[in-house]
Amino acid sequence: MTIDELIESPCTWFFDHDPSDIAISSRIRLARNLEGFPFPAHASSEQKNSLKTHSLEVLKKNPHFKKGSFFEMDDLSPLQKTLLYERSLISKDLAEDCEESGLAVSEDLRDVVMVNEEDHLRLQVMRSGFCLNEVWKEISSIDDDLEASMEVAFSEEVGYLTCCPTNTGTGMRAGVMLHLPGLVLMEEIRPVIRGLGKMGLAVRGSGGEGSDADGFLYQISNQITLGKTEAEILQEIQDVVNEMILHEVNARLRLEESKPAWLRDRVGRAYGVLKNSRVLASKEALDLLAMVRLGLALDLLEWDTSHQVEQLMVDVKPAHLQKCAGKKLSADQRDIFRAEWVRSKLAELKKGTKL
Amino acid sequence: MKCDKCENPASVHLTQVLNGNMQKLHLCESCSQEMGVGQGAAFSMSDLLLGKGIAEPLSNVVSNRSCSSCGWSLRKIQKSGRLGCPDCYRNFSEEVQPILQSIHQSTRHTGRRPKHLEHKLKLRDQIETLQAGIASVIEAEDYETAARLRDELKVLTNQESPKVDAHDD
Repeated sequence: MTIDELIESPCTWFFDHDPSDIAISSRIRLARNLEGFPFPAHASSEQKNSLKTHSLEVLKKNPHFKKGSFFEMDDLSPLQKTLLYERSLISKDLAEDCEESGLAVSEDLRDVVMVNEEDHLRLQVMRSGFCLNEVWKEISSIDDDLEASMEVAFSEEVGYLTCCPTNTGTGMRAGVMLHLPGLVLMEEIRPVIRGLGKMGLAVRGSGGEGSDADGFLYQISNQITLGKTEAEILQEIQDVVNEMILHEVNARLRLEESKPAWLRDRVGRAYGVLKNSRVLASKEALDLLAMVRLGLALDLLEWDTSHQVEQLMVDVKPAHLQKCAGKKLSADQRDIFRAEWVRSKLAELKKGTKL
Repeated sequence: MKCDKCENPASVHLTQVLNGNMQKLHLCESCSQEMGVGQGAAFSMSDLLLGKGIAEPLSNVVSNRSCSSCGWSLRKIQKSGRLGCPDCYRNFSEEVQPILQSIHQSTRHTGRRPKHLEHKLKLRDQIETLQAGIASVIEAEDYETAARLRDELKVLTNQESPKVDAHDD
């Protein structure tokens, strides 16, 4: 698959569900390093090059990547790299600084290995919905195959050895992305985030570390990687996510009960602005679309097109928007085209308002 | 209040509660900028804490040892919060332990191990069990069983690779 084909194919992890689903996707990443090489930040170009070549060779033989695609990041344009980041296939760091980095993507676009990111290898598996166990099964099987053909840095005492000690041990970061408009609108999200922090769990925006929670999307993941088994960490996240889903369902019910007019007003206004705006910033578009997604989940709006609201939430991101436009756009031009694009998609709807 | 990284007055104050322990970090304007605090850049509190976590155990260390494999120094670990290569964990094991403890509240991995190592460790367990078994049957003067167990032990010891894995040191 070429990079353009990859970018054209749908983001399955994001789309395979109903707007009422609160858990959008489950993701696990494992940090792995090879013995005998300095970590990428401290390695010379030659060392990184030889590690990249070696790793991509090994990955090509890995059954999980049999029909996969392999890229040298230096060959990709900045726009292509941002597209990959917007689809959560690569990290922001890799999109921005990728000297001698490589990328392996499985045929179904769900399994990814980044080479020479912060660690030599960053394995990532992502699935639509709430399915951490399934994701774990998949990623540990990729890991088994890799360990059979490479000497992975491991110590019996402290586990997998990683560049940053925040990842030492299991090297695992497991997370679930949740759509939480109910908790946000009921102004209950802050105490929830504080509570999760106390449990050693991180709550981040949908774009990963350092990103804002645009579109009411929150990622809940573990911070601790040492001293607990993977199964224990996954169980903790699963318990918390189950509880969060209950809280969100409850918050939506209470919204309907206590502020029905206000709720319809918020959803209706979001829909109205999207239908009529002429200049639309990325964050605004995401927040409004997320409100529409809530409206669909609560059956306040009707959506009779194949173009899902989730697809639009990806389309409005800067790099995807330029892909839709088929040309490079400045920030101002993007805001104008974004409004136009969303209007055109909403115009395809035969139904729409219900409220 | 002074900056935790340098001696300048601190103007940025961060607090995080992790596993019930409150951790505080005070930074001056320039250090906070250097670390990307407040600029929306990617950072995590644990990363920031590293600077602090390591400053304490290192404050009494006069030498600036370097890793024999990659040349990365203790001071660089302190400054960047990152290690240079897998061997840094072995060469600076004493210094890295308190960092791991402060981030994870633990220094002992209990999770997944590479499969080849798992096999070796299981074998070691079996050998130890057999050795204990032999000792106890000899004590009971059951020499027939002892001979049988000794044969089993021989098979297992032959399976165990004579070479000590570099990971084990």
